[in-house]
Amino acid sequence: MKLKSFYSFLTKDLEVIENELLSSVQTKDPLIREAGIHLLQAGGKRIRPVFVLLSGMFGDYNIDRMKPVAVALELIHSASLVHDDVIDNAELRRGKPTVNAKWDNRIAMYVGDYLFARALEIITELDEPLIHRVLSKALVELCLGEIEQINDKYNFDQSYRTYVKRIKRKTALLIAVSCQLGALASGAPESVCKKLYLYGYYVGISYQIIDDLLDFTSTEEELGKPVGSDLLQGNITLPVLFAMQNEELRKKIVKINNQTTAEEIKPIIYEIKKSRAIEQSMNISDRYLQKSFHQLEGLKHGKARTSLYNIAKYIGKRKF
Amino acid sequence: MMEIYQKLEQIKRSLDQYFSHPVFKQYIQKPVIDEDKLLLFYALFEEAEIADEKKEKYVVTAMLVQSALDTHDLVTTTECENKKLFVERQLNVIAGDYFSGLYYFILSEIQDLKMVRALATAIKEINEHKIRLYDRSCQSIEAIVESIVIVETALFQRIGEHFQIETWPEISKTYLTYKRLCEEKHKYDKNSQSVLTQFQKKSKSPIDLVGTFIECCNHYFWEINKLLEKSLKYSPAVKQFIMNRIHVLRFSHMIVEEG
Repeated sequence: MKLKSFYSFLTKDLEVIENELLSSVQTKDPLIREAGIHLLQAGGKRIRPVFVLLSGMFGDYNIDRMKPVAVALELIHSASLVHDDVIDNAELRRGKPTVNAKWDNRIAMYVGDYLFARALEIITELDEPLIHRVLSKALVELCLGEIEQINDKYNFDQSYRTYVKRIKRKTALLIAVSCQLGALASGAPESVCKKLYLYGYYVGISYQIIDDLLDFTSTEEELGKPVGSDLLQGNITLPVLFAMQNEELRKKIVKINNQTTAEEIKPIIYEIKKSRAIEQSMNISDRYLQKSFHQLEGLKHGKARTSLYNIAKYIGKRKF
Repeated sequence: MMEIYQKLEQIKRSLDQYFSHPVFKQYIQKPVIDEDKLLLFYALFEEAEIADEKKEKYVVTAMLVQSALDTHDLVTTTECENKKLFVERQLNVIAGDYFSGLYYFILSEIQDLKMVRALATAIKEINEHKIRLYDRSCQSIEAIVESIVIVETALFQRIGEHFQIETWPEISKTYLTYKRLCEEKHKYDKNSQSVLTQFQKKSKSPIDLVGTFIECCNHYFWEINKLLEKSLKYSPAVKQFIMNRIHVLRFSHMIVEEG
């Protein structure tokens, strides 16, 4: 089943969001317009707007209140992708050239800053102070996560806790906040907002663990980059942490550094894939998924809850 | 005047706390504080109708935005063969985003959402015009100057509108534009990368581009002098400070001889 089929009843509202996203990059400057459209049309699942809209259904749903939150979050996500591609020196995203590859790093910085500012212009249409406290705190945390990720590269003395804290900031937080803000904007009760935040948080953690797993288990064609790229770049993910529990394998892994080549790392990737690390990581991802289901149990029945449940399940089973 | 300097020092200490993340300290340069912009933001917020205890936060916020924008100007475009330079580039990207996040965070705490929007609008305009200057799409010296005005002063204009203040945004606009034009002319004279060099390479126009540029510099020089005489009767210390700065700019960059 396709992801979209779980929320087909949102089609009309998602179209509104899509149109708003496109009009948000209609600027006088042709380059920003072109880069903005290039970015938005590169696809993406628009999963954050979906979470905003679904969470909004637990309160007094009104698309006019949902729209600024959904659009702003997607623009923030797009801005962070543009800047991330500069950080990673990436040339392709979703099979299309990145802004830094098509133009250059400086243009990517300016386009990202423009989109981020546009997002803030849009979300400040809502004058609910809590929305802004939550979002601004999350944005600061997101950057702190990125700083940690760079600082922790090739640091093999990391704990499971450090890993979870990092992926919380890197991925889970923006999903959690999408759910929380959707609920807040619709005036849902505080307890509901909290449950939705936690749902998003657990789904986000599960999603990132799967993402980290796929770096080992997928093919180069599916990933759009060589298998094991994360480890080659020094990112210590959960499968690596589990693999290092085997002393022999640990000795090989800790030798990886920024001079290691893709060819040299291949046998290590093979051994990690063969080890129990993949299954152990899968179990942890599953545990977070179960936690997300548990949060949904306390919410009112209906199509929004069913959709959130199905999306989480889909994320847990995705193969690439 | 002494009191102003003490307050500015206090603001710099506050900014320093945000700039001093241990990872930034290890790998990248601390953002350079533009003393002129700091003073002008300070003067602007002094005139705004906001509680005294909040004024410092507003100046810090505006300077964080300025630092975010300036930090992203440091992101290099060339291939980084050196690992250290690559990490430096990565952290410059994140540092700029971090300072941007902080401005939103501080203003959310004091619940001034209109100010968030005013600054966001300015950031948007600044980036549009940075791109025009960077990708050399300006078609004339006048268009270059127009973009410089926005890049250097949009924050002051938007904050001014937000608090309905006219004098300081006008002074900031004229002075900061003059300053940047002088700097660009200075870079041009030193044969380093300037908007003027870039435009000259591209332009096939027979007109004297350097002469036109110097005319613009002189225009802003006379404008800022007139403005200071007219508007700063009651702030002699600040007036003197800016006058001294103009003097330094004019003579150290030798605009006067050529103009």
